[in-house]
Amino acid sequence: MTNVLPPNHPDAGTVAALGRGDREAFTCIVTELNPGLTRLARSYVPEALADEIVQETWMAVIKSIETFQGRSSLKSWIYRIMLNKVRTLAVREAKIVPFTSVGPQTDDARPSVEPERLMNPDLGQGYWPEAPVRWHTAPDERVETKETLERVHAAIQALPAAQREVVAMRDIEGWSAEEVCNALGISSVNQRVLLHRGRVAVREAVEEYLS
Amino acid sequence: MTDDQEFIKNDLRIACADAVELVTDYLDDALAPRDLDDFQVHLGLCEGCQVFVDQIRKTVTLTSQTQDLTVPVEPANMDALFAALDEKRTD
Ligand SMILES: [Zn+2]
Repeated sequence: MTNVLPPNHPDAGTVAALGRGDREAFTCIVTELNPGLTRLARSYVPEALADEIVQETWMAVIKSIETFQGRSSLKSWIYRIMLNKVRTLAVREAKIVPFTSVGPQTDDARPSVEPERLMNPDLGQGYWPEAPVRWHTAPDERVETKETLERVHAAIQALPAAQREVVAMRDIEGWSAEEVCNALGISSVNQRVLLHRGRVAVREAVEEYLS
Repeated sequence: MTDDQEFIKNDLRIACADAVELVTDYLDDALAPRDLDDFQVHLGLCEGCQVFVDQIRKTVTLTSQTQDLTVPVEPANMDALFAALDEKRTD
């Protein structure tokens, strides 16, 4: 099979090297992507299964690198392979052992702040009556403790999968919005909605813990 | 008081309930110029929304700190992958 990748594609060199079976090029991309792939896979299924999926993903990358057409980055393409595998497996697993929320993906568009908290006696509905308590003035400076981070981790795990993926890629792995849209095949508006809802839910969990 | 309230409301441009929905767009520089202007004016006058924005920023920082650095750098069976790569070389 011939690869139709345009020569000016930023990943053209790596793709060509992988097609030739270049170990060094392969090791290089593995080092870059394996930790993030593993973390995301482990947010779906238990560790051992997740690691198996990541192994299978790399095997699929080697075997089907010729089919990569360069419509996205190589990184997005590899993540999509992993996500397709892990989503399928997570749905199957959830029927046996509920591990994490794989769905439903729909969300009833909860407001970012509960309406009852935005009842200002003078300005009316939709305005803060008083500012929320600042976290850095919270008693005994607990904000960045191990326990807080555990709460944050648990809150992320409890998010619907679509939100969890975006939060993980943007706020844990540090991807750009554009990269996330490419890897997940979602619009930029959808990406921001999912990210915002996810962040809001995590903020609430921290607030609840600190209060 | 009614006049004052109207004044404050107009000054704030948008309700807090709307402002809090725009925070992620704001942090991503994704607001349209006019929305950005309304949002910034509101934020300048509203302590509640300032705190909310700070808390979302803090949430992002806390989230980044949950990154599990103990995950393996390499997949479980690198040898099998190298073997598959070697097969491509003899193609
Ligand atoms: Zn406000």
